[in-house]
Amino acid sequence: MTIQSADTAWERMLLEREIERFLYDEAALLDERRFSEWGDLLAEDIHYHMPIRRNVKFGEQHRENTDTESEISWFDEGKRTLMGRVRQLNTGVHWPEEPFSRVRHIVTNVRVMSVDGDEVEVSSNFFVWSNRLRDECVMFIGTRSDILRRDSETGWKIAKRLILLDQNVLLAKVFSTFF
Amino acid sequence: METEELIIDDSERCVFRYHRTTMTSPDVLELERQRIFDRCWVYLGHESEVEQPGDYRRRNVGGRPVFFVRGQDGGVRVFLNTCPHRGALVCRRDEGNTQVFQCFYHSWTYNLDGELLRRPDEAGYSETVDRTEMSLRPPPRVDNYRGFYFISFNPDIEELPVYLAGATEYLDRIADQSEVGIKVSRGSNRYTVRSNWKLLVENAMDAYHLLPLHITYFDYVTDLVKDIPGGGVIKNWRPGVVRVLGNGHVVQESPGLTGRTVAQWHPVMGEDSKEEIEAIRERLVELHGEERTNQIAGTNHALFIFPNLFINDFLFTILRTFDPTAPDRTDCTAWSLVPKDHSTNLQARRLDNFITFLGPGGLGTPDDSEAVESCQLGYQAGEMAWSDLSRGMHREATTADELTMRVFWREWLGCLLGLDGVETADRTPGSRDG
Repeated sequence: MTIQSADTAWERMLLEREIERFLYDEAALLDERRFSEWGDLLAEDIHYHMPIRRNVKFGEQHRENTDTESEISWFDEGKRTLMGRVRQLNTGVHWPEEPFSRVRHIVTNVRVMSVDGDEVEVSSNFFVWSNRLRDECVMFIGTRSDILRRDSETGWKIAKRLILLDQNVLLAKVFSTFF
Repeated sequence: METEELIIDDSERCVFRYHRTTMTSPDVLELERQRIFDRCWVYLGHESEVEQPGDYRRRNVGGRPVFFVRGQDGGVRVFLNTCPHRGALVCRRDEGNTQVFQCFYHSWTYNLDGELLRRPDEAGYSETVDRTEMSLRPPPRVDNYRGFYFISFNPDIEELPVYLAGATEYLDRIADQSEVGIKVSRGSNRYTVRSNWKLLVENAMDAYHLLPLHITYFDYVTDLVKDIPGGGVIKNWRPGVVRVLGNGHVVQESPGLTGRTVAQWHPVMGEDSKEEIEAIRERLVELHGEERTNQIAGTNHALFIFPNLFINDFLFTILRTFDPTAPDRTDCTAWSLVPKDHSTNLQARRLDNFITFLGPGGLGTPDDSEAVESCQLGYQAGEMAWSDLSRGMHREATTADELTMRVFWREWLGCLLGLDGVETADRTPGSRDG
């Protein structure tokens, strides 16, 4: 781990604590379906990418995830399309979320990997539980790699998010939330 | 209930209905396996997925595990994915490149032609047995049309182009998008829906549901293009033409309102792509003439090839298959097709469009999945025994009618009854007396 500018253990701990709190607050916005407020946490130039995971041979880990340019991903988004999804969720006629799901984001294993000026690279794991209607249950488990950027208004903005969902064939019929 | 009673097709009253047990009964699914998936040509994959010798892809087709591989001689071969020795899967990865296939159970090793190369302790086998008996087994029939590979478990089926009938013209239009050919983008969308496979087939060929169900998608697109000159075209959407192609295949044709990356530029596609798209169009005109270029580049096609392949050739081009695993469970797979010589910019634009509408993370497909699962739940109310597909029977049907689905169901019934050459089009009012 390289912590360049947080040069004392104390500062590092405070930074990690601040980042954790930001990620927990973000998760609460999603669970409480405050999607527009969640959108405020996204940087204008965000890249939000969830590749598809392949089943590969040991030793070929570099081939595991689809890329953004020539391969298909689950999500490969900028702010404009993400906010389009937010508007869709907010309409009340987006049928797979009407009636809406009970969603809980559990965010764990938060690690600040590096600091570069105003930007921090953060790794975290997630467990997302979604339950809907009588017995529709979905679990999404995976890891995220974020670039968070300091922001005077919201504390931090998400400038980049890579989401690795631990599934090959999607075990849910739809993605009903953000990660 | 007798099989022929499962469908009411009454051109006098203009009524078309099917009994909902077709969507719920394990017996019907078993019959479909025997008489449709075991007897038709079923889509396997595209030649571009295995470009180099040794490239392979693994699939489930017609309920069988299979894989296909590019041989050293450049030919594509397809094998049932089971070791002739004791049955284990010989190909255990979805994709890759290899010199040989080795079964991990007893290390029997096969070359790319499927021949048994070696096995441990060869002396343990008598020379009276011909080694070729132990070759990997291909499906009974394998063929391709312009790079689209199909297999059939019916040794007596007609040649592939005869089976494809009028669909060949539309596969030609797609294959002719580029003189150097088209390719399948790497990666595929795979997910499971808890509905009968025929509900997904219906959904994919049903334009009647677009505006009511996908209102939020159209709102999204309208918002996206509101500041762009010409963006108002979404409002100009009109139903297109349905063409019945024979053998249960059917296509819907409509004008490409928001442009096509092949090759009709539109302001919503951005100035940065204008020059490239116009150059592609010029080249197509040189190769094919103005009229055919309009067919290739100017119209959207939604092509259905019976029993379970869709090719939606819109702003993007996608392939989709729906594979039943239970009466109420279907595996869905989607691939994106791009011209091999598209720039990175245009390829990315196609992929963006692909994932924006389609798939479990898209703005469209989740509404579809919810709708078909909802139908499957509704079928539990068995007293309401019939579903209705009569829309447009009394007139020249458009894409906004239910003719496409009637075509599918007429062919479906023909297959189940073992009939050849079933007429799948509506009988027009004038011909009703005859």
